[in-house]
Amino acid sequence: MTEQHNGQSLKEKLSARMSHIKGWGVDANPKNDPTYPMRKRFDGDHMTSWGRPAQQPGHEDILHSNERPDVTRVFGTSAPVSGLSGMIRRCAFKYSEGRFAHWLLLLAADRVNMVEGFAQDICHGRATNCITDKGLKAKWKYDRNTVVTQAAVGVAVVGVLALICLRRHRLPQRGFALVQHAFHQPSRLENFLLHSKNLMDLSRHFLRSKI
Amino acid sequence: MLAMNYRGPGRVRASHKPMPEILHPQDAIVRVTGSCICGSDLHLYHGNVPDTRVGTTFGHEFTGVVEEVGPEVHNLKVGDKVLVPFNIACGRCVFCKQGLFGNCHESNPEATAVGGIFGYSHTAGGYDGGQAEYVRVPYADVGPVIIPDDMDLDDAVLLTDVVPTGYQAAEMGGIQVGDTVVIFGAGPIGIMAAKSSWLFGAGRVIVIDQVDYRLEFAQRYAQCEVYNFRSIEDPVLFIKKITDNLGADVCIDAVGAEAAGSALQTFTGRKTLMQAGSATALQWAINSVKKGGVVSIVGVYGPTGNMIPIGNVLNKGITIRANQTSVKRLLPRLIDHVQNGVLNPKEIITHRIPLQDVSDAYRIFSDKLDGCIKTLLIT
Ligand SMILES: NC(=O)c1ccc[n+]([C@@H]2O[C@H](COP(=O)([O-])OP(=O)(O)OC[C@H]3O[C@@H](n4cnc5c(N)ncnc54)[C@H](O)[C@@H]3O)[C@@H](O)[C@H]2O)c1
Ligand SMILES: [Zn+2]
Ligand SMILES: [Zn+2]
Repeated sequence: MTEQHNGQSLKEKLSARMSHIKGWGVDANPKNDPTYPMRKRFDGDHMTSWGRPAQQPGHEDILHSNERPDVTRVFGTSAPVSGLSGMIRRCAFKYSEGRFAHWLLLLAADRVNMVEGFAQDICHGRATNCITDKGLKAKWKYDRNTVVTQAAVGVAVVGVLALICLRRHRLPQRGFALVQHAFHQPSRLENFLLHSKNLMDLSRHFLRSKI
Repeated sequence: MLAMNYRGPGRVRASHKPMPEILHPQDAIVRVTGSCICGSDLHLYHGNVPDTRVGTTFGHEFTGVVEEVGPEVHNLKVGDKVLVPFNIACGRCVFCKQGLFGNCHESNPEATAVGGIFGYSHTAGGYDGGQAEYVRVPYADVGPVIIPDDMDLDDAVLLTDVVPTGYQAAEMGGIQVGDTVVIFGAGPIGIMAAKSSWLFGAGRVIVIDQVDYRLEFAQRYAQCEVYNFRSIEDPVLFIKKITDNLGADVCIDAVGAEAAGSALQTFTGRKTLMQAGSATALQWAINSVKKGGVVSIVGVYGPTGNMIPIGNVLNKGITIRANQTSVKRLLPRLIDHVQNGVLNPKEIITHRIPLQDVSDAYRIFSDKLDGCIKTLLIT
């Protein structure tokens, strides 16, 4: 480990500069290196620039972290930013990597991008790929029970939602019945709750009919 | 050419894409002979990595044949069979010079915290990956290694990530002779970490997971103790009890952001993305390690932040070590280990699936179907 460190020569160099600080470096111990063997120490440990390779062309359009001065000498060209998701991504790169806004905007852009991809697929007549893309063929082959259970739960959830929607359409009668019912309740709290709910339901219905 | 194509969370397909081209004098184009699906790809597949754009091709574990080289590539020639480390590294920046090839500062414009990685979203540079017939390999003189003639291609492809990552997980644990090592995760990485822990002199190696077939495989392949946390009410308490109530010397997190086992972590980390992945395994690792012990993290987490008991890290005097693996740094040693039969990675490949069927391949690996440990996509 020690031969990988040139801590000593650096120490000599620095100690002249640090002579005004009493005790500078007296406890320095190159062996106390929790980064070993992950990091190989060398003369240039503190260098901040290096002979950079040639610049890959087309870097003008590449978004880069504002924690670095420019685009790296190479970069990927996988999926250039475009559309609404692209606008969100551009906005995200105004924030540094330490900010939640940066990452949350990127995640939001990913979801928008997914819808854009979906639209693209439909335009190209590939909507059914939603099923094959999910690898449901393999799922069906190796884990049929889960597919069946998930499908059943899906159907149940859709069923319940449909029922709720249907009942909403019958709001006027329901609201009236609830008002009637509320006045026959013994508990004051229950009365209060039911009255408020009725009022809300009725006003919602009223509003909806006006719009 | 045919390539894997990401369409949104849980949806991928094989489709035709333009051939990659030399875009920089140090580029090479490699015809892929085999590429694997990694646990890291699952973070992308589940839509948990920010800036994963629709239309990108994943894949950072691949071998291939050099098809074309740029004018500044001197170490490779057309026709060479190569294994390509998952990190894209320039070899010149201060971090590459320090051997931190996973932390190169000249390969990823989009983020400074992580170096460039093949097929790993724009947060890791926006490169198309190797789950394709052809791939562009930047800085081709730095990463790729010519596959020795006597090496099996299945062994070679696992040297691009799985073997070095498992090995580095153990190495970062600073394992001393006789140490008890607990590894969370019996995926390819956890299994390889278990195998590697013995090489550093561990006295006892314990692997924790929730999938029985994986635990059985780990037990057989890495000759370790295994426990299914689904049958244990409190995994941390359990580990304390089997380690003389003190805890393990070293704990390794080989799970990362997709961890199961805690409803709160799962809800906030995986379902709603309120934290950068579910940190259940890391929480268990910190709580199960001995005072003064080491927690080594190779499981991947997102950039925003996670719910972990940092107070316990302080009070117990724990050392945490973590990194993306520096594949190139470790390759000489690991190629030796494979050639001498100390490590036999190819045994973990359980599935060979044509690239054409990539949607099914992802589903099988992601949902742990059909006894899957590691999937190789064949082009
Ligand atoms: N640092 C690096 O350079 C690097 C390289 C490769 C992979 N990785 C990361 O390593 C991790 C593992 O990769 P893999 O390919 O083995 O993935 P995998 O998905 O195949 O395996 C993960 C395993 O963890 C298990 N698991 C889930 N929750 C758990 C918990 N709470 N405790 C214990 N086990 C639990 C799962 O059942 C699964 O078997 C991933 O996060 C991946 O991104 C990191
Ligand atoms: Zn990988
Ligand atoms: Zn570099």
